[in-house]
Amino acid sequence: MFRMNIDTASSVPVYKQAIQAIKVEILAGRLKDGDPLPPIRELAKIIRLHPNTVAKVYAALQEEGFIAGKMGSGHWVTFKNRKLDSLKKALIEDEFRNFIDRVLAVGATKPEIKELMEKYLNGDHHD
Amino acid sequence: MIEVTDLSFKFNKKPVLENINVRFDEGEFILIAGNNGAGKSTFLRCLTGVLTPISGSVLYKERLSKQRIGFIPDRLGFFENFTLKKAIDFHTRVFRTDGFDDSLLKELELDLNSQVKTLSVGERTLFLFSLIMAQKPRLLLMDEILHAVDAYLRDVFLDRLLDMIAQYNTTVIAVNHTFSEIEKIPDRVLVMENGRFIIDEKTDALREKVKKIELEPNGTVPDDLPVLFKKETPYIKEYYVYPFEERMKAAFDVKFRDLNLADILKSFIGGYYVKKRV
Repeated sequence: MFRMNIDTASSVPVYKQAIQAIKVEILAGRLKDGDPLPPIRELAKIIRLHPNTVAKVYAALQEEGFIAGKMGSGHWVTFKNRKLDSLKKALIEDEFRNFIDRVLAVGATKPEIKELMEKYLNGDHHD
Repeated sequence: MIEVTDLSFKFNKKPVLENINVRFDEGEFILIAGNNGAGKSTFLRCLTGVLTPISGSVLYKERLSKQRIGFIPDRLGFFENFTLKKAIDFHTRVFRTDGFDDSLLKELELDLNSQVKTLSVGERTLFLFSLIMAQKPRLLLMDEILHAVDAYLRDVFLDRLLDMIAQYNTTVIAVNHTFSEIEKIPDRVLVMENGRFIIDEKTDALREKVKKIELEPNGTVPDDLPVLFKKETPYIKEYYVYPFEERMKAAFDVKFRDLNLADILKSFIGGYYVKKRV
């Protein structure tokens, strides 16, 4: 259920990656409003993080209004669509930036990127 | 939780630890890395009190009792001829624990009537771990033993370790545990060299400060670039930069790559051998 990919060769701190990963789960609809999240201790084992780090992740998500929690009853997903829209935008921009970085790294020029982008978006890349 | 002040230790008149000052806080997971012979195991043993330093002190705050300190040494030669049952009786009595949780032994299908010496390295490590678990440890000191444990048992160990931490907010100080499964756990990293700590950083900060650059075979780097360690063959030219600063990106047109913790530590240890050769 948890596809939380955390890149250990990234200078993005693991707790930030974990926060992002849970947001992605929510965005992709794999976690729905009201769904329970694993207890801190269990998630720590699933993604091999320090329990204090997981606690910090849950606290941050709670602060941002993505999840709610209560002592003794754990944490569950709770979100407002407005929040989801801005998150979606941020994630798409993130992915896009990464993609641009990668194609630039293999030597693509900006006009080439534009041209390919048009081609793929118009669906004529099958030739 | 632990305050180490001016700690020095000599072995056969040769200095092993030199004037160490460091403190560890409750709930931290600390990784100590370093080349063989740097003094890491000696340092751990000074923390446990097995070795007495020639000068300086190790102070435990809030009167942490010895009963709540767990120690996993690098060589496990304990209770050799005891049966598991007898070893459990002995350990729980010495540490005056209330009870013993045998679920791990059941999971591994260990026979309580067999002798400790018949166990594999991995089984022994887990057996010792379950003895330590009975101490409800507030501090766990782990020498480099997990490298000798197979991948499956290492997984079992890590699950139990994370349970322990969640339950007792155990402070963990682990020596040279750099394999990938554990990589995301430590929040602080220390590198030891010649009996001193040359690095003491939060893991997140360290990841930002060490970068790798790859150059063409005839490529050169600016003289003032702080290179920790180089790897040069006719095919690759890799430089490990520390401390990296954002401004270097503007000054030097090359891609500074992020590294995982194992590679970061390897470059520090490699740096030691380079210095030694010079």
